[in-house]
Parts: sequence; structure tokens; C-alpha cells
Amino acid sequence: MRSISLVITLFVALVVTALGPTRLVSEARALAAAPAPLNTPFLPASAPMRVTIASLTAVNLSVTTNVTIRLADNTTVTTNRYTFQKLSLNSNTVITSNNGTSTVTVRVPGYGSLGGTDSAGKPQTTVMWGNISRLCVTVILQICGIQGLLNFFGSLIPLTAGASGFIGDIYAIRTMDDHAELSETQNPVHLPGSLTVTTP
Amino acid sequence: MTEDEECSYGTRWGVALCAFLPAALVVGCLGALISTGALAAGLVVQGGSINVATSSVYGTNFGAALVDQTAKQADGTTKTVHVLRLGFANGQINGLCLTQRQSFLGATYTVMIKLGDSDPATWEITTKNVVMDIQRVNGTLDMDGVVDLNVNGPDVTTIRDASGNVVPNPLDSPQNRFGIQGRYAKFDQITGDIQDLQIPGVFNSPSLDITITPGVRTCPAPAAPSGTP
Repeated sequence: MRSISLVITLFVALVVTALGPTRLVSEARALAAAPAPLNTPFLPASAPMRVTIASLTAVNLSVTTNVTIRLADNTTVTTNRYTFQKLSLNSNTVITSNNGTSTVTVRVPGYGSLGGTDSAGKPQTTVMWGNISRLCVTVILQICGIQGLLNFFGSLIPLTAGASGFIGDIYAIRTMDDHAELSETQNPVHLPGSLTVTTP
Repeated sequence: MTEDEECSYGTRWGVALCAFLPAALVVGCLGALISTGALAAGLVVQGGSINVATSSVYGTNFGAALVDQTAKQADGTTKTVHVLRLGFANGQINGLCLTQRQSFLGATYTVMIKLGDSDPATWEITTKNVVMDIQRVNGTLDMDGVVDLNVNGPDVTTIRDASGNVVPNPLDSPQNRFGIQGRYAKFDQITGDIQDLQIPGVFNSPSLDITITPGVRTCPAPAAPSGTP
């Protein structure tokens, strides 16, 4: 009889879970009054993402310094805004968000993208708010660091020949595609790899 | 030990069959209802780590947020785990397979649920909403339109209510958590572990297959989808 009851329990549990109430999403968490974004199009979480990219290409990169943004914990931080044109990820990209209790990791070992082209085929922008502590471009000799690249190239840094060693602590990223459609296959954000959540 | 006592530990297949058949009938009716699209209730699969495989999940108004989830452990106790909750409004799924291990009389069995067909060119399971709690998955995540990374979790939106208004914090995220917002998303060739999967509203699927087999089984590797939904 024990085996019978367990068999019944197993099947009933299966049916009940298939028909069970959707309690996990049926009651949205009550929202406290959230602060309004400041100099970003949305309110970013306060823990910046650590972004590392072994190799990337982009049409160009421009930098705006001393941008004050507001974070979700209602603090503000003065940081930089980086604008890429058609940002492609060539190898080994890792985006990590660690809020102290858990870590979300997006890992793209090969080719991916964080930017695309518009409906006219022109490069579209990817904007990052934060601090890029390392980025290297080889022009006979390797030049590393945003300030060094600005000193060498001027306000518009060309990255069509590629860049390497990207390391950034980024509060927010926005990519745009003005011709998004259901059947669109040229998606500006293309992340083939893995998504993991780890808790210490 | 007497012969009678030995027999009491054996499997009474005939009697067990009597228990299986009514339950299997219920499951079969459930599948028939889903196949006709007449089932108003949704699908909720939860209760521990679930292995998932699908050729593709596609949806508009895509969002993701880091949330807390209660998970049952092997010893029956529960603990809070952190998962990345993905929400696809107006979701479409291109084949879906879920497996979960169960201990039964000291033996391990695998419950396998398969929905949809095996044609990688069709997103045959249609829903109003798909929610998936991720622990570790592989796949290709494509996002289109305006895409934002590190959005404050409660600000992420996916579904709308009956009046057409955006439902606030549909993923039930605490404040100040990592989030993603995109106009469209297509997550291809997903394999890995999830904490649960929910299709809360009406959904249609051409088939539903539930099997329980002894031993440890995993879903077959999903084929790459062809074309677009």
C-alpha cells in the first residue's frame, strides 16, 4: 500500500503543479517611491557591472566626463559617459553584477555584439555610464587608457581596427535599434554564451 | 526472513498499475485540453532544480531581474536562493522539455515533461506570459529595440493589465537589484538548470507529454531554431 500511495502522491503532485495557482508572479511586490533618474534614461542599480572584453571593434568612441547620475539607492555618483558606434564583441566578454549577496554573470566566449545598425545601415549607438579603467589600441605601439587614447586621437577614438583589454565598472548600458521588428534577425544585442547566478 | 516478508518488499505491479492508470488518464485529459487551447489555467512547474531544454523562447516586452526565491532542499527544508527571473510578455516557445529527479522508494526516477513539437521552424507554444527563474543556463540571448542593462529590478516591466496599463514590478524584484529591459528578446538553444517555470495565463500547445522513468534522464539537446517566430 505504501508504494501505491507514493505513486498516487507523485502523480497528483504533478497534476497539481501543472494546474496550480501562479502565486509567484500574481502578487507584484509593493513599490516604495523610487527616485527619478538623473542624466541616465533609467535608474541603475547601485552596484556597477564589471565588464571585461578581451577584444572588441567599434566604429568609434567618444567620452563625456563629469556626468552626475543617480542610482537606485538614491545616491549620486559623478562618472563618465561613453558613446560607442556599433560595438562588436570579438572574444571573451564577461559582464558581472555583484550586489554583495549574489552575482549575476553573463559570459560570451566568442563573437557577440552590444550595438548594431539602423534601418539605413548606419551604425547605432551604445552608451555606457561608468568608468573604463583600461582599453588598449595598437598603433605601432600599444596605447592603453582612455586619457592616453584621447590624447593621441582627439575626442573621437577610432576602434575599427580593434581594441583589447577592456575593463570597466559600468553603472548602466543602453543600446538602441530604430527598426526593431518581430522578424528582425540583426539584433543589436547578441550574447551567445551562458547566464549564471551564484550565491556565496 | 519468511517468503511472505520478502514478497512485501517487492513491487506489486498489478496494484501499482491501478494507481497509475487513473492518474495517467488525468494527465492525458490535461494534455488534450491544452492541445485544444481550452485550458484556461496556466502551467507552473516548481519545487527545486529543474533541467530545461528548448530550441527558443521568444517574446515582446522582455525583462529580467535578480529576485529571491524559496527553494526546497533535498532534506525537505527550504532556503532562499537568488535567481535571475526572465519574463517574456506574449511569449512563444519552440519546443520545451523539462526534467526533474524524484526519489521514490530509495530509487531515483526522472519526471519528464515535453510540450510542443520537434520542428525547429515553429514557435508552436503561444502564451501571454512566460516567467523563468534561472540559476545556470547556456544559450544565445538576442535582444532588440531599446535594450538597457543594470536597470533597477522593480522598474523592469513586461506584461500589461486588462486595461492596458503596465503592471508595476511584474517580476517581484526587491529594490536595487540588477535588471535587464528589452523591447524584444529571443533566447535560443537554452539548456541548463532553472528553479521554476511559469506560464500563468492561457496557453496553447499542440502536445503535452509527461513520462516517469527510472534512473536519471536529461532532455535531448535542442535543435537550433530556423527562421523567426
